[in-house]
Amino acid sequence: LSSTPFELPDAQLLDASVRMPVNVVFRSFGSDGVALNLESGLYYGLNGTAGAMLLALTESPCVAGALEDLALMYRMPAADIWGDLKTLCRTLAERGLVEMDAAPPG
Amino acid sequence: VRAEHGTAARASPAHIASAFGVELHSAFELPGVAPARSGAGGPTVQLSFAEEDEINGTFDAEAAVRLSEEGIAGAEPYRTVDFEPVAGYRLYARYFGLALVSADGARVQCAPPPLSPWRWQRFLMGRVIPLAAMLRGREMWHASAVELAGLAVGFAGPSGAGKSSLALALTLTGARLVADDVLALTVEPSGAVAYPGAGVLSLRDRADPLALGATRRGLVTEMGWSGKAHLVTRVADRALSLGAFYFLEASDGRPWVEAIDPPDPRRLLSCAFVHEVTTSDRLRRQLDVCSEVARGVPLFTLKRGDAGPVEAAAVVRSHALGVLG
Repeated sequence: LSSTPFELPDAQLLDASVRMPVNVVFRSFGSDGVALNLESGLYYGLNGTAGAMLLALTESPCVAGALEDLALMYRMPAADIWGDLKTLCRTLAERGLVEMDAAPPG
Repeated sequence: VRAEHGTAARASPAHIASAFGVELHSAFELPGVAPARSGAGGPTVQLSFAEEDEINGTFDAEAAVRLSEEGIAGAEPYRTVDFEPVAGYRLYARYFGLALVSADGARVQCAPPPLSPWRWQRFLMGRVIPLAAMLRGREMWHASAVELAGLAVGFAGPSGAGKSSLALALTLTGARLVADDVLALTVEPSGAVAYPGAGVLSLRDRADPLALGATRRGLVTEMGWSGKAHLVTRVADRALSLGAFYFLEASDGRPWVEAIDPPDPRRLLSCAFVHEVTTSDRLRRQLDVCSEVARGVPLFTLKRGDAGPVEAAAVVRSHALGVLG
C-alpha cells in the first residue's frame, strides 16, 4: 500500500481512501466547520460545502464513494463536483488535515 | 508567609468555597468567593500557603519552559508563567507574588507578598484559579455573565468594552452575577453550562453612579481600591445552562442587538482565556465548547451605543428575556 498524499493522478485519487489523522479534529460551527491540528495548534476554517466534502471523504471507503455521496446530496452530476473535490483533497492533504492511501495496484 | 497571613499552611482546609466549577479547599480565607454548597461537587483544588523559596526549590527551573511573559522590553517581566512537567505551572506577578499550580490543577501553593488578602487574591482569582480550574476540566472564557430567567446570559468584549459595568447594571435590574471577566464553561449532555466565578466586580470608576447605587441598595460592598473599585456581590448559587451570548461592540446612538448567524468560529475561539496551555486535550476541549456554543446558544452582537450601561442593560435584559422565553 503506497501513501502518496497529494500527487496522486486523478484516476488513482478516485480509488484512494481518506482518513483524518488522530492529531486532527473537525467540529461544525453552524453550517461551517473548523479543523484543528492538535500538534501545531493551527485552526482551519471550512465553509459548509468543504465541511460536507471532508465528512464524505472520511466516511466513505474511497474518494469515488465520497463523490457519489456528494452528487446525491447536492443533486448534481459527479463530474461537476469532481474538480472541487480533488482540489480540496489535495489541499487538505498538503496541510496534514487528511491522510490518503492509494489503492493497491491491480 | 504563614506568620504574615496568620494561617497554618499545612492545616486541613479551613474554608471550602466554590468558583469556576471547582471546589476550593483552602487553608486561608477567600474574600468574595461563595462557600461551596453541600453536594455541589465538582473537581477539587487544594489551596495552601508556601514560602517563595519552597516553590522555587520544588520547581526545576532548568527543565522549565517559559509559556508567557508580559513586561516592557529591556526590563524584568512583571508577569510570567513557566511550566515544568513534574512541579507544574509557576506563575509570578509583581506585587501579587508567586503561585505554583500542580500539573493536574489539583493543588495550588501561594507565596503572596505582605498585602491584604483581597489585593494578592486578585491575581489568585484572576489568573491562578482559572488555570487550575482549566486543568481540572473547565474551559475558561474572557467573558462575564449574569443569571436571567434561570439561565446564564454571557457577554464578551475586549478589556474596557464595559463587561463589568453591564454586569453590574444588570444586577441592579434583579439579575444575579454569574461571573465577571472570567467565565468557566463545560459541555454537558444538556448543552453548554456556565459556572459561577468569584463574586467580585471590578469597575474603573469608583464614583460610578452605578457602583454608588448598587452600594446604597446593599447589592455590593467595596472590597478595596487599586485603580479599580473591587466590589463584592452575591453570585449565582449553581451552574446554569448558557442561554444566550452577546459580543459587545462600540457604536454611536442607542444600544441595539443584532443576531449573529451563522456563528463565526473565530469570534468564539477568541473568547478563550488561559492561552498558556495548548495541550491536545485542552485544544480539543476548547474547540468542543466553542462548537457547542455555536450549535446550541443564540449569539448576538450588542452595539453598546453611547447612552451608558444602564440603557444597554435594559436592552440586553429585554432582549434576553425574549430569547430565553
